[in-house]
Amino acid sequence: MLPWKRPAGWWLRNPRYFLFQMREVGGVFAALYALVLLWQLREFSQGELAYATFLAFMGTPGMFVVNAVMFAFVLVHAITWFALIGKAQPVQLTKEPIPWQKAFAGNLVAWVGISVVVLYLIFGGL
Amino acid sequence: MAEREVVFRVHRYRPESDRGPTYQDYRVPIRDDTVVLDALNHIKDTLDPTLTFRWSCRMGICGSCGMNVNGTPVLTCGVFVKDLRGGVVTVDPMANFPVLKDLVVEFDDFMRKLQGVKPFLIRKEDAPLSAGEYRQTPEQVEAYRQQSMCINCMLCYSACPVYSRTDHFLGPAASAIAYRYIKDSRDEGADERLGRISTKTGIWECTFVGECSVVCPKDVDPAAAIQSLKVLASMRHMRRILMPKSASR
Repeated sequence: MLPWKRPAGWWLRNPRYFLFQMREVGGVFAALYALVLLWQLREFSQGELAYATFLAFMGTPGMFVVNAVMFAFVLVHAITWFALIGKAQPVQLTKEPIPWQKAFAGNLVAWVGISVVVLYLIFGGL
Repeated sequence: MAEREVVFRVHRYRPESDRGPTYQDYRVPIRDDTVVLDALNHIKDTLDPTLTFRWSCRMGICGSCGMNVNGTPVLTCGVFVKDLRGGVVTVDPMANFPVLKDLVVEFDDFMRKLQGVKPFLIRKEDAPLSAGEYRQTPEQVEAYRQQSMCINCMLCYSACPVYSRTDHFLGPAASAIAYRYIKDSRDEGADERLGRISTKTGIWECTFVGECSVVCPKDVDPAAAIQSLKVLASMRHMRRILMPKSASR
């Protein structure tokens, strides 16, 4: 009998496996960004100078790239999960399950709406 | 109907003589209505009688002829060769299972898992035969109809990257079948089954890749069934914590 051996690079052979791996890695990047936020809070509590140093560091090109990469992965993570929400509806709100495309669109709209409100609160009607 | 020749690259493994797997190419005449299983039967009948593979009904209901064709798990009786891309058709045994010979896999693991979820009606007390059959409304049938379509072809196991890594995972089909019986109004074994699937060898390894539902030839949607089971199992757990007396043990 020939035992099963998973081939290296299995997740590159199918675009859906690839997207799944990106979603999983996106979770790690989301956690990293949470650490950055905690770090920001800590520096904020240390006083004006510490926070200014933190902001200056975050403004460097290198950190901009790091943030952009983290943001891209968090986007992939969020959007792929939104796509999955409608595909399994253990708690059914309507008699017939909602088509997953509708659930996906509804989540996206809610997400964009909440993001706009948050941006408005932060930047005060830019 | 016009005929043309297509090269089939077929996985070979003869345990009595081969140290490892190899591929063998066969040129097969193809018509528009030739499915992959027809091509394999042509090879066995006219080119190489030693090629070994499973098949039975040729009409997508027995679930025997599952293989990986160009890397995708399919029932070979349901895939027209003309619809496949590329010049060469690669035929492999289903992934994630040990290979017995050529295209035949060993699936004892799946059979054990299927038996583990007790795929039959459990009654605390059987009604006497004179009481007649257990009746159901169309709505009650609808609650489990989709999962009851499973034909145990195991394509979902072949597609599942989680099962590929952790073979203690119960897997898509056995979970979907557990769900099918839990949702059946005639069944009284929900608590027992939910207890079984809540263990370490149950459903919790599932990370919702969703590929099981993509490859399922019967639209059973095991991925959705597993997510529903996660909710049911969690509710059972909470019930046992909050109401230990009323929850059946």
